This record gives sequence, structure tokens and C-alpha cells, in this order.
Amino acid sequence: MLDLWFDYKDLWLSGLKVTASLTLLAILLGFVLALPIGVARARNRGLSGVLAYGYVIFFRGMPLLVLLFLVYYGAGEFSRDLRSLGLWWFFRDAYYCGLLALVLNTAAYQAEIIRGSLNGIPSSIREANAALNLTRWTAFRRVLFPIAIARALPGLGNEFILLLKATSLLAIITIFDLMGQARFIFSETFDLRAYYVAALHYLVLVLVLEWLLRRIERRNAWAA
Amino acid sequence: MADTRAISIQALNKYYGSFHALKNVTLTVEKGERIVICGPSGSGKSTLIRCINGLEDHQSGSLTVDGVTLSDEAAVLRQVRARAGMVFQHFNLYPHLSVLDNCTLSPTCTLRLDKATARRQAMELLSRVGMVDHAGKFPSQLSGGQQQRAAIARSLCMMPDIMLFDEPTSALDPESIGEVLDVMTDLARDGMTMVCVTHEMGFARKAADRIVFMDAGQILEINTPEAFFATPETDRARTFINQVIGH
Repeated sequence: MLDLWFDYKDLWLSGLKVTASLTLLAILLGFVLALPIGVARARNRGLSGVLAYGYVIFFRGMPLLVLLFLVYYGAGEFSRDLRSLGLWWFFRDAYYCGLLALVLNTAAYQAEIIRGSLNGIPSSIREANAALNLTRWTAFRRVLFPIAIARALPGLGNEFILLLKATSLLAIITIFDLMGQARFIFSETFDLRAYYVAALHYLVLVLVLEWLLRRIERRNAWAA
Repeated sequence: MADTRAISIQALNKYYGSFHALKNVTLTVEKGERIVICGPSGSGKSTLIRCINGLEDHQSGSLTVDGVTLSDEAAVLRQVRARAGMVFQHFNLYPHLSVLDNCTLSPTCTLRLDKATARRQAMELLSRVGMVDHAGKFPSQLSGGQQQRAAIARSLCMMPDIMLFDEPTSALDPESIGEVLDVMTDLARDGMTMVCVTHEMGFARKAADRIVFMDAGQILEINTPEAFFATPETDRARTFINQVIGH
């Protein structure tokens, strides 16, 4: 298999870079989107609670592949409107469309994980916040958020790994990530080992991600 | 004439659904006074002390702390909680912060002390409860007694006029109980107004000005420790004293 890797070294490395960057960006942007949704889900009051619930139902209920097609091919239907809005550069690009679909999808899952860990914070912590007169914002920023994230880490880590592997779907919309390169190399060589090489790359990325997560979890050993 | 009352509770009633948890409770605590509330479990002692700083609401009657009459308004609750510090049975320390950060979080964020002042004050109070050597540790690295002493220091850092203790030693092993009671006795000697829910009758005898005996949501007796232990007025109190002293 090594020969197949060395023959197409540049392609594999470029695929690795695309997969890694898509995963990293989707994790980070997904988290930024998930945080307010997760908080609104945990509060479960008023319009924000309804909207957050609607978001989760919609995006958790839709297969990522369907969402991907809707964003990428669906945007073409509105190319005139998108052009006039100055957004065409974004929706014209398969990479951005794929990233958007990943972010919308993972945010729904991450929001539910954050909701669970916020709701799981023992009432004794909230009583301490009240007794010490912390404002709601301080209580959230300095107490509830750090505790919730530490407790959410195992669940979030799981979601990050699923997300990493889900990026392979983006090969279908012409993105040359690891899977996209593997498809190309297979079409050149008709050598099935191309997919084994791709699988090994994913395994390595998963191991790296796991190692990173373990390090972060160890820093939060107090949460156990 | 200046008001000498720290806490004034008038005909307080509290229900959990249809359960009548506090029945017409009336109690006045003078400034500088040390009160021990005792009674069998389920008698409403913890509920009463939690009502005092608004962690539990009440349905009728009135509750005044340092001249502020409690309501469910956020601003009023904040004023009451600024005056009355709380120590919990299970310490309720922040698990993700060191002892020192536990002590400085609210002083810097709520009282807006600058970091250096808050640290200095926290270290002073931690030394008072014998916890200076553990200031950098996390709660999970401490024994129960150490955690409770840290929690007392954290509460004192908010500079309250009144300290409320809700069964502060009930979750502790016998050795730890002693170290926490020593800190509380030291506070009592210093003139802090204190209301303590506790089963520690030795502490009550030594430190309390008055003992309040509760059963089934009512106050049955209020008396000095000497009178309470020597000549309890009710059968219920007599039985209770025999039970807690008996072992």
C-alpha cells in the first residue's frame, strides 16, 4: 500500500489538509452556533426556547447528505437572488457549502450535549451562586459554563469524531478531501487499495483528535 | 431608636404543595446574637434558615433581615443575601476553582473589589479558618472538614452581617466536625450574628445565646441553653434531648 501512497503523495497530503481544515472549522463554528442554542434549550422558556427546539428538530431530523444537497444544489436555484445579495461567492463554492452543511448539522448535536450538561449541574451550585449574589451573567460565565463544558467533553468528543468521519460525504459535491482524492486515485488506477489508504488516514486523524481530547479532559480532572 | 434586630420573622407560613412545612413561625434575632435551631429531621429547621436568605420562598407572614423585608424581587433578594451569608451542609464549593478563587470570585465580580484586595482579604480569612496552606488546592483535593472551612471563609469574604449555617457538620466525619465547630465557635466569640441549624448540642451549649427547638414545622421552645437542657418545657424537647445526648 505504501507505493500507492508515495505515487500520489501530494494528493493524499492535500486531501488530508482539506479534511482536517473542514473538521476543525466545523467543530469551532458549530460550537459557536451550538452554545446559544444549547443555553436556550436548557432554559426552555419563551421564544428562544421554541426557536432552539425547532432548530434541533429540523437539523437533527435531516440526514447530512440531504442537507448537503439542499445547500449545494439548492443554492443554484437562487443564484440570481444570492448574486444580488452579494452572497454568491459563498454558495458558488463547494467547500463553503459543505462547511455550512456540516456546521448546521453538528450545531444541533452539540447544542443537545450542552443542554444536557447544563441541566445536569447540581442545584447546590446554583444555590451557591444565589447565596453569593453572583449576577446571572457572572454565574454563567464563571461557574455554569466552565462546569458544563467540562462535563460535556466526553459527549462533545464523540460528536467531533463522528463529524470528522462525516466530512467524507463532501466528496460527493466535488470536494477533494481524503475521500475525494481516494475516489480520484481509484478512477485512475482501479486499485481498491486507494480506499484502504483513505481509511488509514481517517484512523490517524481520529487518533490525533482522541489524543487532543484526552489531554483537555485530563486538565479538567476535577469534573469527575 | 436604632433597630437592634438582625432578623425578624413574623407568622411565617411555608407550603410545599399541600405540605405545611412552616406553621406560623415567629422569631426575632438580635444583632450579635447566636441562635441554634435544633429539632428532629423533617421539623422545618433547614426550610426556615433557607427562607431567611430567600433560597426558599414563603406563602404568608413577613421576614425582615437588617431592615430589609424579603420579597421575590431580585433587587431585594440581593440586598438580603449581601447581609446574610450562607454555609451549606454539602459545602457547595465550586469544583472548578481553587479554594482561593472560590473565595475571590464574588468579591471581585459582585462587590467589585480589585483583585489584589480580594486576594489579601481572602488570605486573611483563610488563615483565620486555618486553610492558608490549602489556598491553591481544588475542593476535590480536600477533606470534608477542610472544604467546609473553605466554604465558611468564602462566605465571610462577602462581608456579611449575619451568618446562616445549615447543618454545617452533618456531612462530616467526627474529626472534621471538631475543626469546623472550632471555627464557628471562634466566629461566635467575635460577635458575629449567627443562626445555626445543627445537631451538635455541645456547640449549642457552649456558643449559643438561645436555642430554638422545632418540631413538625412549629417552634415549640425558645430558651437559653442552660434552661433548655436542664428543664425543657415540652415532652417533645425532652425526648429529643435524651436522644441526642444519650449516645
